[in-house]
Amino acid sequence: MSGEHGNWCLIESDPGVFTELIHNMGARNVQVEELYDLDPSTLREIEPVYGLIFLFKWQSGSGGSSGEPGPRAAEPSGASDHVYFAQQIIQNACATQAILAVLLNRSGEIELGEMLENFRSFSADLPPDMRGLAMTNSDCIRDVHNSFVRPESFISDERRPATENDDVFHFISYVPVGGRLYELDGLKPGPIDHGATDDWLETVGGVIQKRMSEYSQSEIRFNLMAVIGDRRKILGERISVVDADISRLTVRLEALRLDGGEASQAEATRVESQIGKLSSERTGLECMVERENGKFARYRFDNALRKHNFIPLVYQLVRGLVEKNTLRPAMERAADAAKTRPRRAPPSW
Amino acid sequence: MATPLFSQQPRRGGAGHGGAAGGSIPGALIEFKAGRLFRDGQTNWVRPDPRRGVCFARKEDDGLLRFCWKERQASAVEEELIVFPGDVYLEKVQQSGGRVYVLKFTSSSQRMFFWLQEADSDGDRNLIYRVNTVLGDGTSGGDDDEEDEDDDEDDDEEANEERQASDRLPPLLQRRDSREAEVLSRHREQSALAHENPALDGGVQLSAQVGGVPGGGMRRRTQQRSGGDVEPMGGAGGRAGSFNSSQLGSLRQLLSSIRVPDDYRSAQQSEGEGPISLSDVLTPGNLRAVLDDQQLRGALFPTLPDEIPHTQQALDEVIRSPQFQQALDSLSYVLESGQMAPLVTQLGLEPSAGTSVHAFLAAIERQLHKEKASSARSANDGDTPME
Repeated sequence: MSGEHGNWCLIESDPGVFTELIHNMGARNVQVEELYDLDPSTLREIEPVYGLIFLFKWQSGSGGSSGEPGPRAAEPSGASDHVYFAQQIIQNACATQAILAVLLNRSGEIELGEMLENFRSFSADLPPDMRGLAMTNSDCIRDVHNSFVRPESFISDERRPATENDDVFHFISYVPVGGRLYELDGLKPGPIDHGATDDWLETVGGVIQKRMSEYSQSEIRFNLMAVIGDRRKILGERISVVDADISRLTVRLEALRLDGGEASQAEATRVESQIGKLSSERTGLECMVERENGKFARYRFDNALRKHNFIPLVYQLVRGLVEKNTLRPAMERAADAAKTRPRRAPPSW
Repeated sequence: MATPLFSQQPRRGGAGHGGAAGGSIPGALIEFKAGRLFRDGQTNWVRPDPRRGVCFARKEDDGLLRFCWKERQASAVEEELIVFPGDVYLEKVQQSGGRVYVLKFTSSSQRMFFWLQEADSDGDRNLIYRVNTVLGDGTSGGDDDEEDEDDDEDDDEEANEERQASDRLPPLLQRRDSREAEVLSRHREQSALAHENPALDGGVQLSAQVGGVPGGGMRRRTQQRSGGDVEPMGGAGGRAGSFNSSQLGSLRQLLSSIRVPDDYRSAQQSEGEGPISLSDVLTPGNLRAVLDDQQLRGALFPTLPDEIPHTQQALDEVIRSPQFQQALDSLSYVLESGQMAPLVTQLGLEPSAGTSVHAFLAAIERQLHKEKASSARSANDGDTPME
């Protein structure tokens, strides 16, 4: 349906999916976190934050809005030349496009990897529309993107061109570049400059709030994700620092105890309590690492299912029901259930 | 990608006879302009090769008759079959409105498809008659005599209804010139390109042990398939009960070209049985007894992704996952749309199993009963059909 650009599957706006996409594109020490509020303190906890990806999902037609908030025109200006901006060419590539909008603007801090470095240097001199086209036509980027095609979704993709009733996604990335906060909206002609900021984590919340309010009331779902540094690596580094402090204090403590003097004993008590504090901090950090491990295990599980072809499982499950002589009763109950609810619209994704 | 069906034709001896025809190919007993059609992987689908080609038959020095195809301007012969006179004949594929012919073997179920590229279609019948004369076909009336019952010589079982299904060629073959075929071929390339990704080829293996396709119970098929882009043809594919990754890969391509008929809903509504959803059948509650059964669990684990541990807990999670639910929804939809027939045959089910969720479930049930009956039969040598 996307003709010469090849097919791009729809991607769930899910942190596990985005994290794996980034990893598979070759960038390292980056992960994606879902945010549930715009509070700066939330962002502080997960620093470094490289950029935010804001995904809207709205029913076109329900609000009479094309999704274009309208009032603010983009301001393509010479001042934004250092911003990597690509226009959105096709709908389904949006997840990848949003990711690249952040990654390619933070290439100084992020290890992009060969694929993305090559793409960046190749497309750097192109105008925004050609960058979008280059992205859309990049086989390797598309392959990574399409690794998330659902085995059944190819049926629906081909079968059913997007209609007015389909959910439509739109994404906007927010990235600080050169001390200014930019809004990168692939439907606009250029980056939108939100001005100079010392601390973009403080200001971005308000900008997003304002942007949200520009959408019609019918906008019901949105999704905010942060592209951040590898949490486990950062936590690991903090644990190392704490460990170094603890061992230094332990040496000191032993020395003080050997000394035996009264002043030394008082000092030893203080050092001991300090070690205790550091130990509990360490435990806290380890808990966070464990949480991250659990999260990544979850990602692996979910992503495996996202890509899985369930037809063989369905087939074996039905055979199991037959073995147990429960298929027919189950079908009868299903028929009853079908009667009591309106005919379902085909699944859309 | 489409592959030739006959790349390794078994050698047969014998001497040819027949008429001669003038032409550009030295030594050719007969020649005619035709393009090929290929079966798409292991599926029951054919795709046109858009190139201009020529078929010819000639006898080589060894005295054996060859049936050949080459690109018209090329010198290299791309297909060369040693044929045994009387064993092969060319026959019109009646279900196609176009000039599609199939080369059939009386000694096997192998087929080879061609679309005529001769300028004048009026001479087709005469041409085919002459070709068949060369190939040693004894019948005098060309193709027409056999149109209604064309599969008699098939070695495998052919339920009556199944043949009806297989006797329908894609509307895409109804075109009459190579330009159309080129367009179609380009379309095919694009859709293949779009689906060249490894997600489906996950090495999933089904462990069904099914021999043949059971007959009967095919009543629902035809009215639902009328709007499809492409129709399956040929009864020889998809008999196996196993479902390997390369088959899945070709199924993906196959399904990529399927379009749901707009009127399927009204067709459904006229059925007595209301549609049911797989997600209402395969509920965690309904599946409890299955998941608790250690032996049945053993059959489920191989169908899980490699990353998922083979534990009952993981299985429970999979069953409750949104991804599984989405898969059930989309499968239900595709089944109800009547476009799953080619896919279900890969599961060893009859094509009618792909016409609705109900039919799919009933077919699996029937299949399992059949397996049990046949293993019981082989155990006590009895003869008790299940249906």
